[in-house]
Amino acid sequence: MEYLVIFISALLINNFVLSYFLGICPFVGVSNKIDSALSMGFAVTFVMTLAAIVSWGVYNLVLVPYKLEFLEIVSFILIIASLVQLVEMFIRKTSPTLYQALGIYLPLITTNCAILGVALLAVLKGYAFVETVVFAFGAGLGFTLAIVMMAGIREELDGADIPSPFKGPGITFITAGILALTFMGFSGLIR
Amino acid sequence: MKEKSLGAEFIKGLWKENPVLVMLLGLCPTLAVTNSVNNAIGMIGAVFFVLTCSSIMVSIVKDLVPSQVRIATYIVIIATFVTVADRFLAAYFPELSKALGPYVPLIVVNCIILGRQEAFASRHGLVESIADALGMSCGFGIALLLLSSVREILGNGTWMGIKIVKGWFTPWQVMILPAGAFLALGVLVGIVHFLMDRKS
Amino acid sequence: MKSSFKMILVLTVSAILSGAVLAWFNQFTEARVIANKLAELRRSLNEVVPGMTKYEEVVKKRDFAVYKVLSGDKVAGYAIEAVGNGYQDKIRILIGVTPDLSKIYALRVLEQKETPGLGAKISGKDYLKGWNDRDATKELVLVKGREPEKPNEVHAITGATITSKAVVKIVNSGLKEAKELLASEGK
Repeated sequence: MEYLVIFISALLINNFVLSYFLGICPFVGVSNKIDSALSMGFAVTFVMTLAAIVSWGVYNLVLVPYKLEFLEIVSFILIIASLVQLVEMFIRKTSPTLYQALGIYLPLITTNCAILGVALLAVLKGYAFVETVVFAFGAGLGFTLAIVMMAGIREELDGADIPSPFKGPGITFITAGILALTFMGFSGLIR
Repeated sequence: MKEKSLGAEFIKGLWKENPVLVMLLGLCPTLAVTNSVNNAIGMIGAVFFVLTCSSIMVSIVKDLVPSQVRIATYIVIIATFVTVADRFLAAYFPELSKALGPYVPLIVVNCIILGRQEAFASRHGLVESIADALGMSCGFGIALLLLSSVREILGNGTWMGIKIVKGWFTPWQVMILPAGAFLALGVLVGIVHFLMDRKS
Repeated sequence: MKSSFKMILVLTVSAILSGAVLAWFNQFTEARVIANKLAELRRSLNEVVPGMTKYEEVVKKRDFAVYKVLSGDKVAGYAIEAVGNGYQDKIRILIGVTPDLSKIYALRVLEQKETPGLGAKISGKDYLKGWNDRDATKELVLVKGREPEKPNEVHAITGATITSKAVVKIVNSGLKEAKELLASEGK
């Protein structure tokens, strides 16, 4: 039950993009086509879950026992950067099709604040191992949901008559604002 | 490009290449901490410190670092200064540190900082890099102050915690909610584009 | 070969330097960070249990804690830290109770992310005042649309029923857990 609460909370109520503002850069950059948004979403979910697992291990098994908590930020970002590299190499070797679909998004992920955000928030909330995994997975799916919805709306917006200064980023943010408002409807889902 | 004066390196960050409003970088802190002016000022201070120190370090060590590992080295440098800023806030401004939460550590992945190292500090001398970093932090600061002022006044009727709007005004609570952040930034970016289009 | 050696060297040196700088800086800040946390806890405890001079930790878990609050040599009361789901995210509450756990002295909200202007009012004085001197022998009950009459009734915030309900639920479960715990320890 507790796991379900964490999952729903990360997916809908405290959606990473729409209420924590994490992963805004790819959200604005890659959200113009549904296909690419979906690939980006899956790449992020995958790396996010993996990164949360590894950084949980490093934090709780290395940093805490040796009282090195102050190295949290440095070690997490290095974990993420090297993890992205490893995943990229691994996918390129094993599955060229998957690499074609996800490959170009992987390097972008290192500087995606959502990944580091998941690792940091899991520590901040003091989650245990399974909770961290559920949290990261939910957050990744939440990111995917938000970015795909946004892409769907933006595909329609292409044909709309928008005042020229608001074309591009302006209308994207305003749309995101309306999306965030609709997501507020999910509050109170868990009581 | 080479003939640019130090003043020009500084000024460009304020308006023409404003990192937030024009280049759309570093949006996650921009949106997350602008629900009050005080939080925004804390974030501006932290970014100012990290960006300036990292730019100084990077422009000093740029010739020693092989290009294959430069990003990794820059990230280590940035993460070090971010930790310093984070610990400092936690020790001396606990309230602010609590309010900003994970967004201080997240400065590490703030695209403005890594972006400036990669695009500027690694290619220019120390003095120009400092000018560039100062300009970019000021540009970031202007954007955050604007956004947080709009959001705090409309959303709470206060500015820096001081009540400035009298009784007839009912605060638009939505402005301090996440949705309000997106709406306010969207309108602000639209206005900036409008002004720039008219100029050119 | 030479270039890869240089790469490794640069990365190692920068990592060591960074670790050294942070370890050095941490020495200055760590004590203060811990002191800040303790001072904050002390302040909150002082607000919920009157006349505190010192406190002892009875239990401390992630989502539940009990502090024994002492005034001089005698027990002034207990403070229970309880956590539960609110409308938006977790709500963390500190409940100050009498030594026999029969009455609530006062309540403080340590952490909440409820809707500003509605649910967030649970941190406000007007709402918290309604919790002073409540009867804790029975379950607390939320009342809507009228003023609380019985000593175990608390008022709801208009427009934030879910948040108000959540607070009552957290208090009730926190009290129950604390009572069981202290009873099993023979106090």
